[in-house]
Amino acid sequence: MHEIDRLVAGIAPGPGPGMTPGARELFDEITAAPAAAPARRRRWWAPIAPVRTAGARRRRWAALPVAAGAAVLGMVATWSLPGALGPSPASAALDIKRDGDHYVITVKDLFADPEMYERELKARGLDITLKLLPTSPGGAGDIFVVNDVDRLRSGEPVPVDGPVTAVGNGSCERPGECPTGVRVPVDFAKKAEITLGREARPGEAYMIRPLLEMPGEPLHCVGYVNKTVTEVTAMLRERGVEPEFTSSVDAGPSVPEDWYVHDGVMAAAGEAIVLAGPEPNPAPRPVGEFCPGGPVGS
Amino acid sequence: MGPPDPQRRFEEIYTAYYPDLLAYVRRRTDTPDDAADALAETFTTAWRRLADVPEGHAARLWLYGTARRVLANGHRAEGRRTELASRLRTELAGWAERDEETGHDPGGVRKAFGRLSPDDRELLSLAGWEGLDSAEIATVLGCSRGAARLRLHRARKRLARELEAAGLDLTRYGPRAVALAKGES
Repeated sequence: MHEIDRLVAGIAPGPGPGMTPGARELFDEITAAPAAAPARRRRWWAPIAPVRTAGARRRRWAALPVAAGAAVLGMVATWSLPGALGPSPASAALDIKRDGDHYVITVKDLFADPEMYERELKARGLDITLKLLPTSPGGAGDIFVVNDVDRLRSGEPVPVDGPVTAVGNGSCERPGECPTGVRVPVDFAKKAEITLGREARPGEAYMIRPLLEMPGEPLHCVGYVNKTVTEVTAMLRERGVEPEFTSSVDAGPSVPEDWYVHDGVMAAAGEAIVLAGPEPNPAPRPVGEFCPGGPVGS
Repeated sequence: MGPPDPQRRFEEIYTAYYPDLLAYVRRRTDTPDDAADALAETFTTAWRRLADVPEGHAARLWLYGTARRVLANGHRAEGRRTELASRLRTELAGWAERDEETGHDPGGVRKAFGRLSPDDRELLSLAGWEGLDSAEIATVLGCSRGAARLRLHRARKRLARELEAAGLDLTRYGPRAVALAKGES
């Protein structure tokens, strides 16, 4: 930027609150009237007057085309959250930088309106929906990427790897200091949904419920599957967690204490939901799945 | 794929550029009501003339150009408030109270800027506030790229001279600012 422009930028009045409910209402009011002549759509470079598009022609502003029939790609990765969650200006919920043939997209404001993320991504031609849902401190940063929504809806299989990857995944030691972001190829043309966890506020229920044995959760590396309701209740209470038992078969008014625990998730800070049945779980998850060194004593 | 649904296309444009347009009109109006009016009229025009709105990033420039004309006309049509956007008015008024300008003027830049002509201010604002290059400014203003480049250069030069006349040390801002004030570039 030119030095003089930088000086002028320094006295810019604030951008205002961005997309607000009132702005949505204005949208509804405007579109309540019919659009006059919407049928013919100009191509983006169609000249209004030749001089006007001369600049735009040099650069590729056009939204990327949506490719049909591409592979569905899904993956789970770990993101970490930035330490400070201060308010960001309306125009910067995301920080989007280009690094070679990828965009590095970092979430600056974890509590921004999802439309704001979408707007900023769309401006780069990315048809990506980004959602942040409350989860446990250990699960905060988990991301689930569906790289091609259309394919997923048609019931196609989901490969485990994809072109969208997490930024700083596995490369930072202290969670609070890691960037929260994804790397997306610049020419990424699919419709994608990215859901990632943010740490729940006090008292807020988790919308991403981590398994009890995941890293950072109360029963990490503690074998609990096929122990009894009584045993698991004690194990959880010892760790400050109150379980609520449930069953896929009729358990009467409450799940019997001698039933076997099949599975469990954290539902909020200090609250677990545990699935139990009258018989042991015949196919429990391998204990080493989230615990490479094997379970510790119970 | 059939022809695009107009409502959907307008929604994409609105969602993508509303915050930019809000910033644009807010920076060029004195009251939240004026800002809300200009937003309502600009986007109503876009909705009515959807086929004229170019695709992609060029849509943003088209909207700036439209907002610019709306604001220019608004001065003639003072007192003609649209019925739209009642909730938005309240929000913007509330925001304006929180976002009160402090009057802080680092290095007297605000004062020097205020002494420029409206045309110079607009050129410098499009570059410094909206972050446009001279080709994009040409699109918004409807002039040739060469003309935009020249006008921007002259506006920068006049601001540099205003700053120098106010006794500011331009070396703080860099050699290009010094050169501009001395007329060397």
